Amino acid sequence: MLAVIKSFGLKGLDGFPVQAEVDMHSGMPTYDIVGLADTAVKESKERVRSALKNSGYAYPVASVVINLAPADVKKEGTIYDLPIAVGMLSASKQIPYDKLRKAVILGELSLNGEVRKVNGLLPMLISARQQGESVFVVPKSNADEAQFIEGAEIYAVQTLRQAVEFLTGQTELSPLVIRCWSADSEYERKDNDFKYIKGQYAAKRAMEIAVAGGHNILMVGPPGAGKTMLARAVPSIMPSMTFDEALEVAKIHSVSGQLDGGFIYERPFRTPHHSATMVALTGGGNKARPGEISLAHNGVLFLDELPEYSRQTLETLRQPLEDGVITVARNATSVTYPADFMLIASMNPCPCGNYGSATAECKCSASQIHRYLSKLSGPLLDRIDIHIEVDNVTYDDIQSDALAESSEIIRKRVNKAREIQLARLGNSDKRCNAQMNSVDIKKFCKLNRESLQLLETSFEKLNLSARAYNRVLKVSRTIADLEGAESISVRHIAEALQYRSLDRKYRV
Amino acid sequence: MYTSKEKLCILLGEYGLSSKKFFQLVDSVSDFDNPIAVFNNATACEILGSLVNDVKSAFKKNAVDGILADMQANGVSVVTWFSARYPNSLRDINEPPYVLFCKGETALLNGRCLSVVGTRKASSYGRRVAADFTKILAEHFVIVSGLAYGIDSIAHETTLAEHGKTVAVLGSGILNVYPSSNERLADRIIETGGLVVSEYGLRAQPFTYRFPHRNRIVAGLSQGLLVCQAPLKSGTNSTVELALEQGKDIFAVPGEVYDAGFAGNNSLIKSMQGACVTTPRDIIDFYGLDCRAVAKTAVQLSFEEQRVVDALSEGPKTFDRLVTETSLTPSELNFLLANLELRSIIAKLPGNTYRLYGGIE
Repeated sequence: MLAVIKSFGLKGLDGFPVQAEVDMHSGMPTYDIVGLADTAVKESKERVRSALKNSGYAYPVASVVINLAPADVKKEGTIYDLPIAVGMLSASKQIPYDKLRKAVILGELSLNGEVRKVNGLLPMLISARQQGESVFVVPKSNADEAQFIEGAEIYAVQTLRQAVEFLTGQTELSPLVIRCWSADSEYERKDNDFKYIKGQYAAKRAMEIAVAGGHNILMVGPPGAGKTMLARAVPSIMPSMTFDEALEVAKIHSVSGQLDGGFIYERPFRTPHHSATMVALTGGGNKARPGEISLAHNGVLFLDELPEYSRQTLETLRQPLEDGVITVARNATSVTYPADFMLIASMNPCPCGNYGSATAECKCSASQIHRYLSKLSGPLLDRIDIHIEVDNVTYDDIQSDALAESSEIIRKRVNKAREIQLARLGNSDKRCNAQMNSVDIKKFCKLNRESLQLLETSFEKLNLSARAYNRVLKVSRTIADLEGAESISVRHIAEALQYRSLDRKYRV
Repeated sequence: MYTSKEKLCILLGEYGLSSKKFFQLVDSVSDFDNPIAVFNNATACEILGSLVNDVKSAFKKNAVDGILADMQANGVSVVTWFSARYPNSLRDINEPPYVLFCKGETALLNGRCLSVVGTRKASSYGRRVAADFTKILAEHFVIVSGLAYGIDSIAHETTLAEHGKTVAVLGSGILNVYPSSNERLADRIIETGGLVVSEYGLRAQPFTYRFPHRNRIVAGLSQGLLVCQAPLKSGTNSTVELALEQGKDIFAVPGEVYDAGFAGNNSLIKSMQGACVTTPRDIIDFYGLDCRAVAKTAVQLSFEEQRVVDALSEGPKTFDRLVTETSLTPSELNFLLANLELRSIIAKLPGNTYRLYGGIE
């Protein structure tokens, strides 16, 4: 007899319907899976057999054929254990079939019949819901992921037996409570708060501007200056995620199996080590998994010791920095993942770290410093609007017990500036000043005569390079927005000019 | 255009015959005008040593014409020992260069030159000294330096900014500028009526021994040598020694006694080999040149600007210290600093540090 169980598969961040067709006929006891199943799917044979046996069901003595339709799309992972097991029970007439028709079943089985978590549950459920499915049986261990999916009846099961008894109507399960999204509801921003960072006025101000305008930022400073601490505090001043943003972040984390705790409320903060390969950063592998830049989507990608990353790795960041997405193409699949992140990078001013320091002597030769700095290509620096030099904190600052301004206060200012930007950029899909192109800059960054003159003299006097021009305009727009000023004035330009350290030619 | 003697100089220069051997060669051959006689002379061949076969066959194949064409295509001219344009200042030094490949205004070789030299790894104080001194000296002198990183580059750059004239003496071939990142600087020197000069073949490699060797030209061309920043052991010291040998005037700017980067300057002053100078006017006065009085313009500072300037009057300070000391907000301070910097009242140093500009007079 034939049983057809609904399930789902995953391609990139989208789910597609899969039907597990289980057929049995008399003959030698065999077990075949067709439909481009990968090794993990094929190995379900042993899990299903033991799980059935240990849950008190009989493993059918028959020739079993399982087809995962559509048969020409690759199926991966352990999602289909539970649907196959249920299908076998139905096909071998151990349970009635009718009630199974409606439910979408997902789950991995352990040998003792427990249902285990599967990766990518959230994106699959979202796609399934969009395609009109409404009843789901999912593993209890990551059912939390589904708590915001409206209109879905989600039943979380712990064991195969529980699943079967529910599906045959022997026991009742209450569906998962679907909750309403409210930003900030679930967490407090705790440890990394700006109020714990003493001194560092220049850097903190630069961070505030960077976040307000969505600008990428590069910190240059000696070791121990607190660059990492500053970077870690940045998510605490970023505006809260909207539901759509949070959902996208959760989907990506779900796909890569990193969605612990059911959902993600805080903007992600990713710090790949500088030995990270290109693929680790961009995503890929034979399954085209999302990389660090996608995991940092809607959050912060922090690259500590920027020049230590391989040049090739850094260059791959250029296109996603521009487009906000990355397309990973592998032999069988081509997947587009979102990768709209704020880049925070840090570096030392020279290999030994002490160049320009007031307290320590630099031991690097001129050519060493030159080589170190030249690891950063112009096009990459082009995409970083703000450079800030971070000093060592003075002893007095460390000593003082006074808390600095808290992240919450800063975040309020940031939110206000973001609202202004959103209103100004209007219907385009741009959200912040950093995303303005040259047309927008012409339109929104009009300067009065005084400001133009300042900009002109400063370019001569401060030896700024041409590429600094648009950056200065964008950043000054953000500074004006933070102040709530309608138009850019001299003081905004003047401050923006201070954030172009690396363009200055006083460095060797 | 070039006499046969000069062509021989060019050929020998291109093949890398040292000055020392060249003058032995001139002494040993009575008829230097006739290259064939030179190559037939046994002593001459002995002096040429391993080069003899290469040079001989090159001469037979008229390789000089090729080199001359190459030079013309690249705008290179030549001043040789036998030329009337050869600078007198170099005639008296030890092992003078017998050929100088030049790009730019060769008349500068006979100008009133002053060398500004120092380490490649200059501190911010060293840079400031080089810039501030050169700025005023460039009005009176042709500034000679070596186109290296650090002080050399600053000397050239500052002279260009002041529309002065500058001569760069290379330690590599004139068509193979080293360090290559200074190629653009070399071009600008030439474009603005300056001069780039090298005694080595057109595309000679920048071998390490060539740099101390070319220093005798840096020292030789000038009346005096200004040492901006020199640690005890550095290429600058070789220039200083050569200048002393040549009897040139040495000027040294004092540095902090604890700063190893200035140990060379301070030891020059201590041993009285160099005159201690604290303003460029010292040098100008030393040569009895007229120094135009610089009219001092009164600067109007706002109340807040005055506060920043006051805070900086004690010495360079970081941004964060200025925030605490002036109790201005970072954004206000940023604005004030940018303005003050543009008006040349303060200067920004690496490490987000600021200092008063206070140029030297």
